[in-house]
Amino acid sequence: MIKPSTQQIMKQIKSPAGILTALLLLLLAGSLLAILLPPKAPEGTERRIVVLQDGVKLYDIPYTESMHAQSLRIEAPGGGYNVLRIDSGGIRITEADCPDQVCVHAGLVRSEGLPIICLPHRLTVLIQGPEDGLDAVTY
Amino acid sequence: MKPFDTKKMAALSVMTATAIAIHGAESMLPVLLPIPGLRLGLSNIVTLALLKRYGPKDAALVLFLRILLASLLFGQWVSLMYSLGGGICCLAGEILIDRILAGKRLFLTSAFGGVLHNAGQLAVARLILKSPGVWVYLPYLILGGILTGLFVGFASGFLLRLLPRQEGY
Repeated sequence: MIKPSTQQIMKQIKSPAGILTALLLLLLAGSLLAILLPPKAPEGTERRIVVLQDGVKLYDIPYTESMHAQSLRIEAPGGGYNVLRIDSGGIRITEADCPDQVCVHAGLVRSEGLPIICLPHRLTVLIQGPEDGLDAVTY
Repeated sequence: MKPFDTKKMAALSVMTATAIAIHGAESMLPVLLPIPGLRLGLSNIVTLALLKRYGPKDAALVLFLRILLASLLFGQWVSLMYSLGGGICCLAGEILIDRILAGKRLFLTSAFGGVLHNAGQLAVARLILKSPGVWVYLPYLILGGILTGLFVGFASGFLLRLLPRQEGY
């Protein structure tokens, strides 16, 4: 086999397929970085549990380590429900009648970061840190 | 204008039925990762194969029929908007990238299709949920889109090799 010259290699890299492969690798690296290096939120004391449905804030509860356990049943406008369990250990959806059950499988959330989302019931439940307040929510 | 082509209609109907069956079987799989909107997207194998064999118009037709019928059949009408947003983004991107690549390297086209599907779906989720928090999931969905897209690309490559060639298309 003839060893390809540098020029040939450059030509391959500059081909549409080469550029698209590079773009894909860039996307891959970028998303891996974003997953492995999540933005660190300061250990603030003021954390809130925010429940949004259709972008409307249903609940905005101050979240403390010593809060007593409670369950909230959240009805979806088009029918259906999610049961949100809140205790000192974190928040989780314990029960829902949505078809995919992604929100239930999301499990326990104890810090800012990934919100619990129920796409079928248009529900978002998240723990908000002190820095990102209401002004981050657009209607 | 071409006369009504019964053979093609029958072929597209079989493809639509296949795509619906795959879609349905996939929706019965348990949730592997709790990432909203992340699916294997196996029915996209059919869309991609149709795009290559019959062209963009027929691929789009079968895509719309599959999403509408599967949503009705499997009681997931609530996720219709997400599926449509993802499906349209995915197919549009695949048509464009397949042109750029001159029809070669299907797995690249498909990987971008997977990413675009998930990004489009997330954009719809952002609009419907009206909560900016959903963007946190973008890196997970990009990663998932690349992996499932590559798989779908190779699978449609195999499917295209096995599908009998139709004369006149």
